[in-house]
Amino acid sequence: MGMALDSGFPLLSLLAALPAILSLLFVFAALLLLLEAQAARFTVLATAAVAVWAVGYAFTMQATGPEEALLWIRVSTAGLLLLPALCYLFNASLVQPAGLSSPRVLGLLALAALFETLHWLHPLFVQGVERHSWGYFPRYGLAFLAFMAWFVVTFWVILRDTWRHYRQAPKGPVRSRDRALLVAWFFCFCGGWDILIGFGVPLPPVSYVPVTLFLLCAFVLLLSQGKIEFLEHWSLASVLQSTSDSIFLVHPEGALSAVDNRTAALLGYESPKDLRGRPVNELFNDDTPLFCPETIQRIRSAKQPESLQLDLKTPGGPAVPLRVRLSGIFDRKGRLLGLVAIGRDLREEIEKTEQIRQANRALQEKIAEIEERTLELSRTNRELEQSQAIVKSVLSDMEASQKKLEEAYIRLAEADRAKDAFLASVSHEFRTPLTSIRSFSELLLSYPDEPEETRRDFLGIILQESERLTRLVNDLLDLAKIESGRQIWRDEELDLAEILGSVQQSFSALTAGKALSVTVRVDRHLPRVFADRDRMFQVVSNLMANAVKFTPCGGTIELGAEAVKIEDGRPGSTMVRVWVSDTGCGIAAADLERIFEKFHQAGDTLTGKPEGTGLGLAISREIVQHYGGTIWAESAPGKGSRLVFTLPALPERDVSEAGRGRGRNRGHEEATTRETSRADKSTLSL
Amino acid sequence: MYSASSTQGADQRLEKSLADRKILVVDDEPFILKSLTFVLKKEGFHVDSATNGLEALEVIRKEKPDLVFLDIMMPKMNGLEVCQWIRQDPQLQDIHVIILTAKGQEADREKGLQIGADEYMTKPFSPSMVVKRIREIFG
Repeated sequence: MGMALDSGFPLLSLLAALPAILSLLFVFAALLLLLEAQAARFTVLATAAVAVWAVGYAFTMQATGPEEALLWIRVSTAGLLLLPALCYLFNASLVQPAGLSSPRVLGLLALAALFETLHWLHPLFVQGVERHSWGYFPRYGLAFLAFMAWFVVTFWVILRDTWRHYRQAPKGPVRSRDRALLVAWFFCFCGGWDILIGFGVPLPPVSYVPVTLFLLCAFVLLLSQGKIEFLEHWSLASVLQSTSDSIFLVHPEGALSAVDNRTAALLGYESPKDLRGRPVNELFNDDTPLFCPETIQRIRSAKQPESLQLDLKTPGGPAVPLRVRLSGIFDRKGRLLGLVAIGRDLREEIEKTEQIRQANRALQEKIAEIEERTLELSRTNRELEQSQAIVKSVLSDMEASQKKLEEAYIRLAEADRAKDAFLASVSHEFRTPLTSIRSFSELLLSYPDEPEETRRDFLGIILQESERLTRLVNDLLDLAKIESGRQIWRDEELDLAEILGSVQQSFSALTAGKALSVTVRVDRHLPRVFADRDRMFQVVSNLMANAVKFTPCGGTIELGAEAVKIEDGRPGSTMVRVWVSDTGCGIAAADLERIFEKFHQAGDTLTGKPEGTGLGLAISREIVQHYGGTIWAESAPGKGSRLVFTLPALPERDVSEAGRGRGRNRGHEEATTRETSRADKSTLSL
Repeated sequence: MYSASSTQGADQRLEKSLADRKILVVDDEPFILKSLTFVLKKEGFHVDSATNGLEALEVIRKEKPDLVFLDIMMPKMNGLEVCQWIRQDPQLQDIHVIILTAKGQEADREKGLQIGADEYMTKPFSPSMVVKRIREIFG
């Protein structure tokens, strides 16, 4: 420098005025940034420096000559530019809260300041050397060496750093800044070159223009740095404005540096700025401090974020639960620069959890209800099954009953048929003698002039047939009474030998008439039986009558009785067996059972139509079966027949107890009347 | 007015006196036979008897009666079978068959008539009624 302003060349004077113009531009840029960034302290400083510089320039222009003014301005600028560099070097917290540091920019500006200073100091040096003879070489040499050291180190380190950063930076203000920075470095180098020349180093000269251009770059640099700072600041601001979480930026000493807008509003403040500087623990419940030494210690040592649950005190409302993630911000040396706490509002979560819990409880209740219902259902099911089982058993009972009914019906139908057949037989048996009686009676009346013999013959027939009819009626009545159980049984102790004897005697005439020999064979100690005398007589008589009927003249008939032991396990069961055997025509095998049926008459006999009613053996069977005995026939055609029946014998001791009374009176006393209906066998209802 | 032939036939029939009329009585009850035989003989008919179905057929073939009294319930062959035999034999078509039985049911009556009997009478019967009926049959 040192050019006179009143030089003839306008270009030179323009060049001289260039710093002034630039400083104005600085002012404008700084103002702009100030308005936008609002918090970039560095920018404030820069603006102040520029303002001071401009004012100083104007003032000195007025006060002194332009040369001196320029000197003052350049010194002051250098000094003011140096200040941030010094700050960076000593890592003052002045810049830190913004979270932004631009060491390269500061380094550059520091270096620039130094260059400026030295540039200015150089002529002074020279002048001083000339004027004050300071001992030229040692001081000069020392300053020179210091400068060189400074120059080389700073220049190289910062250049390298900037180059690396420039390579990595994406397109945008950061990249353009770094570009400007690099360019500025180049021109700074030129300035340094110039200074070296001033120091007497034999180097080719460099013009003043690079220095000016360097200032231009510094300006661009400032702008872009400001923009970066603004963007960075703006990013944070926009985050704090729009976040739904609560964000707290805390000083290492526990004061609140920044807070998001929502939380500020929650806490009842208009703007987050109003909370700046408050101790952060005041915002939370006493039992849940955010900033406590143990937590900080842990963060410092572990360098890991911590999770806490805190309650934010809201004015006029319940505390807001927050789940806070607390992490520390550390510089490159690992020192804690500040804390960031991001808290999530748990109210909604708690509410939702509570809702879920309630829903769960309701569900549990429902489940319990359902279980109860299921139990009930299974109970009902069991009851149903039981009912079903009952119904099944009832049904099977009904089926059984139905079967029984069907069987009973079949039996009834059979009985009905039997009844019809019986009635047919009975009517036939009645009509036959009735026909004779009627016919001969009529004939007697129609032909009164018949001879006496004929008349007697006819009357005899009438009488005979009447008797036959009578017998038939009596037999039928007997049978009916026995079958229906209305028969009165006058049971008494009987000696069957006696009965046999009586029968033999009563048939004596008949047997004599047919020259039949009759014998009676009886066991010596024949046990007695307990039965109705007349009925027993009837049975034996029936058998005898058959024997007599079916034995031809000259035959033999035997009546017998013996005791028989029945081996069927019952102790002392003795029966009396009675038989009537003959040497008659015998019975065919097919008829052995049928002869005991009602109205069965062996029609194909030698003597033609028999005289019996056909009921004798049927009656005999009924009587024998009444006493629990059996009756059967043993015979073969042409080989005679043996009709046998058995009766239960009285045990010996009963004989002695009951005594030997045989009177009818006794029988009366012991009469048993059996009224039990035997309807299934009865075919007549009398 | 009868034609000469019919008059002749009628005369022939009248000529065939009662004594020429043969009646067969079949019954297994001797007293029935006795009463019927007595009354019919009294009325002047020629009477044969049989006590069972087989015997009856023999007599029918031999004697060729004009009228047969058949009982149903008989041994060896019952009256209905005898009736069938009579009706199946072309030579015996003129025989008047009267069933005389104790079986008095409507079903029995129908069966008898269906078999081919000319009449069905039930016991007991009145001998005079029987005679009256016979006279009607023989003109």
